[in-house]
Amino acid sequence: MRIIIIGAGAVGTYLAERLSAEGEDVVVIEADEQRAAELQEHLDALVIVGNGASSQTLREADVGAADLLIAVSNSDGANVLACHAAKEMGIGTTVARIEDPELREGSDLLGVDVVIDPSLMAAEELADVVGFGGPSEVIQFAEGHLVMVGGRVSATAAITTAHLHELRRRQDGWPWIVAALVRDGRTIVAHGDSKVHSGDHALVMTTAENVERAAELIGVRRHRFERAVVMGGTRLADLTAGEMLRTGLAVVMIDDDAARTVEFASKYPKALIIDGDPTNPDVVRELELGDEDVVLGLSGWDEVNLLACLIAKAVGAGMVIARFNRISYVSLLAGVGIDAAISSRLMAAGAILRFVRRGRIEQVATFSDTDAEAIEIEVSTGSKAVGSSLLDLGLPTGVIIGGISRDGSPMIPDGRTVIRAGDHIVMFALPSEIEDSTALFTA
Amino acid sequence: MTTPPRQGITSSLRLLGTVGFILGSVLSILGLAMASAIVVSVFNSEIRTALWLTAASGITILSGLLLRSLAGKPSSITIKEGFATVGLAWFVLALFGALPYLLTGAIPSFTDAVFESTSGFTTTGFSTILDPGALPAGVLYWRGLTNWLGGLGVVMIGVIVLPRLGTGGFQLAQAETAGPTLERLAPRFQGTARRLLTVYLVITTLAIGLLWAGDMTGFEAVLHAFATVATGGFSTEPTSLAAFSNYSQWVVTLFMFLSAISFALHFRAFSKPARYLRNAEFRLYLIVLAVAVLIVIAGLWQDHQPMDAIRLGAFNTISIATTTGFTSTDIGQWRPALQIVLIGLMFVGGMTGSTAGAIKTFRIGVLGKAAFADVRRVVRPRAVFVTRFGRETIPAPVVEAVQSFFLFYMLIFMASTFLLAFIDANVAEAIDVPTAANAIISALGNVGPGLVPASQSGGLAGFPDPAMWLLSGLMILGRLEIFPVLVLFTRDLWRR
Repeated sequence: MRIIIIGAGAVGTYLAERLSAEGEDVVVIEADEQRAAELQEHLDALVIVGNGASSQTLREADVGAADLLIAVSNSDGANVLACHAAKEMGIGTTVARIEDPELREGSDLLGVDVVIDPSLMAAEELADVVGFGGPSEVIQFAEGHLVMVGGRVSATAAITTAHLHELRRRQDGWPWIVAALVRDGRTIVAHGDSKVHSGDHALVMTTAENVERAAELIGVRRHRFERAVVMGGTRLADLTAGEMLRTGLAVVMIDDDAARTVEFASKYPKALIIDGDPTNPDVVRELELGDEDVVLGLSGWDEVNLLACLIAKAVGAGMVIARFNRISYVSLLAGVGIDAAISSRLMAAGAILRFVRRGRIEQVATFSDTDAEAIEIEVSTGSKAVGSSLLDLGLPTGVIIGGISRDGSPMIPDGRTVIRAGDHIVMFALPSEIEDSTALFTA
Repeated sequence: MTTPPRQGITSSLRLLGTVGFILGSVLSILGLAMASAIVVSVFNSEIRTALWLTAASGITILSGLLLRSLAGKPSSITIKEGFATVGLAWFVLALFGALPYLLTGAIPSFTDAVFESTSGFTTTGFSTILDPGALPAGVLYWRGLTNWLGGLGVVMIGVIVLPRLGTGGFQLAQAETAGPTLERLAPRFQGTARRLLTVYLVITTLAIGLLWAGDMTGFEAVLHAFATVATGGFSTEPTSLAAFSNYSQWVVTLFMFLSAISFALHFRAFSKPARYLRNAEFRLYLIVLAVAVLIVIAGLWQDHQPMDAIRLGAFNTISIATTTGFTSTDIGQWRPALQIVLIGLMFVGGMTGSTAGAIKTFRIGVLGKAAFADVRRVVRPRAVFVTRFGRETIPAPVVEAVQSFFLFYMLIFMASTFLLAFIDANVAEAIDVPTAANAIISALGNVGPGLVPASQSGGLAGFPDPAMWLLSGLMILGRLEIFPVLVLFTRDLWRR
C-alpha cells in the first residue's frame, strides 16, 4: 500500500516508522528542511520537503497513485486542504487531524474521509480508564464475549506468587490467560514458564463475566472514583475535564496560568478551578486527596506531569495518570510511582493504524506502552491454520492466541485447541510478527 | 524640546473643540424640539407664551449653531471626547432647557427653573410646580417633552440625527446609556440607535393610544405617555395619577414595567418572545419586582379592599422600582415596613439599557454573584471563581467597575445626605434626616417624588436654593451613572 503522510511531527513520525517497518510504501511530506533531513536518516521512506497542502508538492509525491493520505500536520486548515487536493487527484482514502470541532463539521464535503483529533481521543480514553476504576485497559473483542484486562500488577497480587503454568493449575474453574507483560519498556509475550513481577503491566485475556476476577488476579483494586483532579491548562486538560463532568464526577482543575484558569472557570461552572502550581505540595495537599480521587497530570510538560502525579500519589490519591509527549516515557515510566501513562499522539497514531488495518482484520487494539497489538481475525476457509492445533501451528514466540470465539461462545485456548474456519481469534503479536501471523489465518 | 504645559493646553483645546461641535449640534436639535412647544402654544391661543417660547427656541438654536461653527467639525471622536462631551452636554442642556420656564415666567426663580429642567431631562420627576395644570399648555408640553427626550438620551437622539460620526456615535451613546456596555443591534452604530429609537417610539405611541382610550384628554395622554415611557414621572395633576381612573393607572403600570426593560431586549425579543425569559437580567428584574409587589400588596391587604390593595400595591411599587415616580396615593401614610421595601427598590431600579435609573438590576446581580464568590474564596484561597450572570461570564474589569460604581453610589448618597442636612441646619431647618436621605436617593436614582412628605409635586417647596442645586447635580450624576461626570475632574481626560 502506498501511504502519504503529511507532517512529520510526533504522530507523523511514529506512523511513518510503524508503517514502513511493516513493509508499506511510505512518503512523508514535511515543510521543515532540517526535520525532513533527520527523518530521512533513519527512515526507509521517501521524505519530501514542501508544503503538504500545495498541489505541486502532492503531485511530486504522486498522490494519484497512493491509497491513503494521512494529514497530521499542526494546522487544521493545511490538513483539510491537503485532503481536498488529494481527493481531486484521485487518492483512495484521506485521514486528517482536525482539532477545531467547528471545522470538523462538514469536513467530509471537503474530501476528508476520517477525522482524527488526538486530544479528544485521549480525553475519551481517559474517561474510559477512570470509568474502569483501576485496570488500565478493558478491551472487548468478539462482540464483547472476550475481554482483555490490563493493569499494573500490585505487590500483593496472587499472580506474582508462581510461574504461570503453576498458577494456571491453581486458578482453575474460570478461563484466563496472561497474553503479555510490559516490563521496563519491553514487551514479553507470556509463556507457561514466565513469571509476573509486581509493577509489570499485565494483559490478561478472559471472558466477559470474569473481568472482576481478572482484575483481582493481577491485584488491581477497582475504585469508584468520586472526583477527578485535572492538572494543566492544555486542550487535553480542557476536554478531559469536560468528559469527567459528563460522567458525573466532581472535577478540580489546577493550572498556574491565570488567564487559562479564568477561561476554565467560565466554561465549567460546576468544576472547582485552582490557580496554582500542580507540583507545589501545598497546593496539592489542600485538595485533601483520598482513595476516591483520580489525578490526571495533563500539562504540556512531561516533567511537570510526572512530578505532579508523584506528589498526588504520595499524599494519597487513589490513582494517578500522567500524559507524556515523549512517547518512550509512556512505557518506561508507567508503574514507576504512577498508575498509568498516556500519550495523545500515540493514541492518534493507534487510531490511524487501526484504520489502516481494517478490512482483513476485524478489530485491532493498540497500547500506550507497547508497539505490540491485539488483533481479532476471522479465520478464513482454506487458510493454513484450519484444522491444526495451536501447538502444531508453531507460532513464533512473539505471538500468542489469547481467545477464540466459536459460534458466539468464547473460550480461552490451550495448545491442544484446534482452529476451525469461521473462528474469531484474538491474537496478541509483536509488530514484527503481525504480518506473517495474520497471513496464517487469512491466506 | 517640547514644553509639557503647552501640550496640555493644546490637548485640552482639541478636546473642547470636539465637545463644542457635538454640543452645538445637540443644542440646535434641542432648540428644534423646543420649537414644537410653540406649535402647542399657538394651538391653545397662548400668544404671549408662544412668543417667549420662540425666543427660547431661537436662543438655543443660535447658540448651538454658533458653537458648531466656532468649533469646526472634528475628524473623529475618541472615547475621551465622548465622555467629555456627554458629561458637559447634560449640564449645558439642563441650563438651556430652563429657558422656556424662565422666559415665559412659568417659573420665575432661576434655581427652580434649572431644577425643573434637570429633573425633566434626567427623568427624575421632582417638580417645583405646585399645580402643573395651571401652566400654559406650551410650557406644560415642554416639561413633558424634557422627560421624553431625556429617557432615550438627548445625545443619543443627536447621534441619530447628526451626519455620520463613524465610531464617534458609539462613543457618545456609550457614555450616555445606562449600563456597562451598549449592545449592538446593527452593524453600524447609527443603525443600532435608530432601532432603539423605533422601539421607544412604538412603546410611546401604544401608551398614548391606550391612555387616550381612557379618561385622559389627548394632551394628557401624550404627556403621561412621555413621562411613563421615559420612567420620568411628570404628571399634569398635583395629585399625580390619583386624579385619573383605575384604568389609566393600570395602563401606566404596564408601560412603566415595559419601559424599565432593556430596549435592545425588546427589539430582539419582538420576533422571538422567548428571548425575554432567556435573559438573566430580565429574570432578576422580574423576580425583584414580583417579590416587592407581593410584599406590598400583602402589607396593604388589611387596610384596603382586595382590588384596591392590588392596584395600589402594583402601581406604586412598580412606579418606584422602575424609578418613574408617579404616585396614586400618599405612600407616606403606609406602614413603615412597606416604605422600607420601597426605599430598597429605589436603589435597585430597572434593567440596563432601559430608561430606568438607579443602580440597575444587572449591577445588583453582578454585585451579588461577586460577593458570593468572595465568600467562597475565604475557604479556598487558591480557587478561581469567575462572576457569572446567566450564562455569561462577566470579565473581571467589568465586575470591578460595577463594584466601584456601587461604592461611588453609596458614598455620594451618604455624603450628599450629610450635606443636605448640613445646608438645611444652616438655612431653613425644614428637612429632617429621613426626608433628606429620601430626597437624595430619589434624586440620585432619578426616582422623583414618592416618599418625600406630601409626596406630590410641591414636596420640595421648603427646600432652600443650595439644596436644590445639590439635588440638580445629583440627578445628572445619577442619570449619567456617575463616571462620565467624575471623569470631567480627572487630569487623564484633559491631558494627552
